[in-house]
Amino acid sequence: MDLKQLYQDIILEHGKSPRNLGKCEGYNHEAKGYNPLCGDKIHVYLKLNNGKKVENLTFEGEGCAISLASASIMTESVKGKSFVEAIEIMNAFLNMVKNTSEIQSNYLDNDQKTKLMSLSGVKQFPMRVKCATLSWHTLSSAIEGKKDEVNTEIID
Amino acid sequence: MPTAEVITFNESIKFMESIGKNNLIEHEKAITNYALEKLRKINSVKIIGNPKNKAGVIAFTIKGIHPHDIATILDEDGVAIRAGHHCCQILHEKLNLTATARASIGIYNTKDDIDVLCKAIENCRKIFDLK
Repeated sequence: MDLKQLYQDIILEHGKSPRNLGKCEGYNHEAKGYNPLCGDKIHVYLKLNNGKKVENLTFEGEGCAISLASASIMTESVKGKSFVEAIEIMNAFLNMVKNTSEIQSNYLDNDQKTKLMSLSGVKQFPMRVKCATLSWHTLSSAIEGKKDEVNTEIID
Repeated sequence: MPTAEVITFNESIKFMESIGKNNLIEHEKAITNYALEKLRKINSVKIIGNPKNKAGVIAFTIKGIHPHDIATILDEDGVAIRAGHHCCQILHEKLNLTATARASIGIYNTKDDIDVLCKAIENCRKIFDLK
């Protein structure tokens, strides 16, 4: 098991300085997520415009480097995508982090793919998979307009 | 019926009694004090809780590194600690702490273990580029 695979520079950087932090103006979807085992907390704010495009995606949260980096990279990868593309990217990420080594998506450019794949090291550290997926499950909850807080002990 | 647990418990009691209560206390105190002394010298490490009679349970934080990350990195260096709320979320909320790391000391721990713990913490700080 290689720590360098897990704590790559991209992750340390995004973990220290997450992008798209805060409450975006005019958000019309939101959801909260929580990992009760370690205290990772996230609040996702999403603005879907009339054409169902992700006009803006931001978050507030506190937690480990993995959870913050994942949330940060998520906002960079999903912002500006259509609703359908966002869902595809979400599923592709969840699949990669648990199963495959490469992210299989039609809607990501190479830079976005590289950043997302920096989180693939989490596979070797099963306890940390939930840290990486929390923000994505929370985004899914925001898109679906679910009221309950996402809890990592209940989701997969 | 938790048979294995009952048998193990019996053996544990025999083990502890063979060492003797006073020796157990002395040993735990000595290693704990050694640990506190060394940890306090590390920049950005904060020991949580400073009671007069401190048992061999050391909750700590490292500024800039979440306990979950500390635990993963220490684990790779062969040091097992716990990270999270340790079943006291309310106290963590009161102290305004997201989570803490916790190193516990037992009869089987030695000063060498503490040296390894401190070295692993330095490694952790290096990975996160802390000064």
